[in-house]
Amino acid sequence: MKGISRISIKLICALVLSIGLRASAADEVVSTAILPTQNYCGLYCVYGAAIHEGISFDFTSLLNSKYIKCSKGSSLDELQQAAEDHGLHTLPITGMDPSMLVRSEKPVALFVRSDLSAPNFDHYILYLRHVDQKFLCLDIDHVVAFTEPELLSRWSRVGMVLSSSEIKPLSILTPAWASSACWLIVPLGIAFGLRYFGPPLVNHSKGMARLFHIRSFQVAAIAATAVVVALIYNQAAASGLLVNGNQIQQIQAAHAGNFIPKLSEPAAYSEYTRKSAQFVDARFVDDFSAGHIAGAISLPVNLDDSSRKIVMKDIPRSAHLIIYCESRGCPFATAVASRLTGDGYSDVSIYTDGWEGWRDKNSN
Amino acid sequence: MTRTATNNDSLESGGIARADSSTLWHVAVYHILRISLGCLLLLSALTKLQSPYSFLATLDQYELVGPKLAVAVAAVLPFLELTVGACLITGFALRSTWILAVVLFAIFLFATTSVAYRGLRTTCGCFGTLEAADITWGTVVRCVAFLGAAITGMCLNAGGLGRIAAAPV
Repeated sequence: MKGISRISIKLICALVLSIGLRASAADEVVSTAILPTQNYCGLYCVYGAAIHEGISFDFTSLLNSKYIKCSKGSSLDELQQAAEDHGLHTLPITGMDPSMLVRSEKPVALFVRSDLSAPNFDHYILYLRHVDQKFLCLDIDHVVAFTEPELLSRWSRVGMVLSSSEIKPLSILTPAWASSACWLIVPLGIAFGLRYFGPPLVNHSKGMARLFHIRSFQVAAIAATAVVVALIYNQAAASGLLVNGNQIQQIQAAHAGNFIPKLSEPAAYSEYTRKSAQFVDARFVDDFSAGHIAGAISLPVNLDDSSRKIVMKDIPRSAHLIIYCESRGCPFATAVASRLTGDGYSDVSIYTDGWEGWRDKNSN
Repeated sequence: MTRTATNNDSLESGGIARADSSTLWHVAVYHILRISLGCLLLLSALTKLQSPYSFLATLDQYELVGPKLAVAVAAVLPFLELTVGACLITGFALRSTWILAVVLFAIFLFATTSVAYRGLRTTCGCFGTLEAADITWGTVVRCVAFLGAAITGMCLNAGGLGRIAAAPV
């Protein structure tokens, strides 16, 4: 464990030092560019892997447009190019599983969600080692330890092994193929067995044979088999959904906003005319000042917890709150609604069309 | 039901040899549909089983079911796909399996249409994490094609092209 800590500390120090030194250098073109940002997460992975593998080079050599063609960050192909140009061997794999990470014994750049609530995979972290049932990963400039379910809930299972020496794909891939083959062979084998050896068994008893010829019984039997196997597997497997309550709670909490009821324009307008709900504007203060639904209160998404509680102190927990944002697709309303639900407000809805929709429909 | 079984019996016992070329085409199409949809369901199940938590997160983003039901669906759906896929490929209990396949593809179509209609930004999750693109109307069209294929397979099977006579059910 001490060895691991040293490696991690060395990595962080190396990254931070490199970034710090470079930032203080006179190179104005790159000085701002190499501040730690989410956009360079992939390049940090390549750099971290290079340090881990004993290859040293200047981080700024990675700040090249051919390694980061899009403002959102690098693609896996671009990272592969960057790594290979800097002396690393690479092996990109789609459909990796945690056991492959352990077997690789090398750093692996993982394509993940930046957080559990992110709708898409948009971030890279660098897997370093597996210690005490945890996966140690470098996330830009800090080390994070994930349990297997935590990792699986964020990882796209796309990864790229990075090594200073030749990578042997078969040693990593073969056990995974064997595992996938098992998943296929077992159900296929059972179904084949039933297909060819079932009839004599069932026809042995007239009652059974008659029962098995009822179509609804067959449908129910197949569905029930799937449910029973699912329950047994998820209860017995280490990464099963029924034995990792904490991880499930974290995922559900990250998506709390998805479970809040949504209101369309007519429903929201009906609540407005009946004055049965308190409208809450989740946009920034400037946007609220520029125009808002009459009677709405401003609760900007960037407001801290204590300020939010002050704003909401006169509104009872049982009040019907309708949260809105600028337009459809704007995430602020969901974020604010989740916080209010967490504060104990039980009747919270989101008006999906937002101020833009309200203004358009009520200005005519 | 008796009539269907008789048709299948004749098909099993050399019916194909006596069939005309149009029937042979139907048999070929039927078996291609059966095997390809079976493989599709197995692939879909396998990718979900390898990343169950990611699939749960995707289900949450569909905004179709509550948190508890989402966990139940994430736990059971891959195994239902696995069972139906294996039954389709091996030809076990085909009459019932085709019904379940049609129900599964109809549910997928409903879910993707609902997400596309509401303009939600989320990945399909149809093939686990292998498919990172957001749901679009193109995804819906793909689901319509799969459902159409499953309905065609079910109709061809009901018309006597299935090989269910050798199975107990």
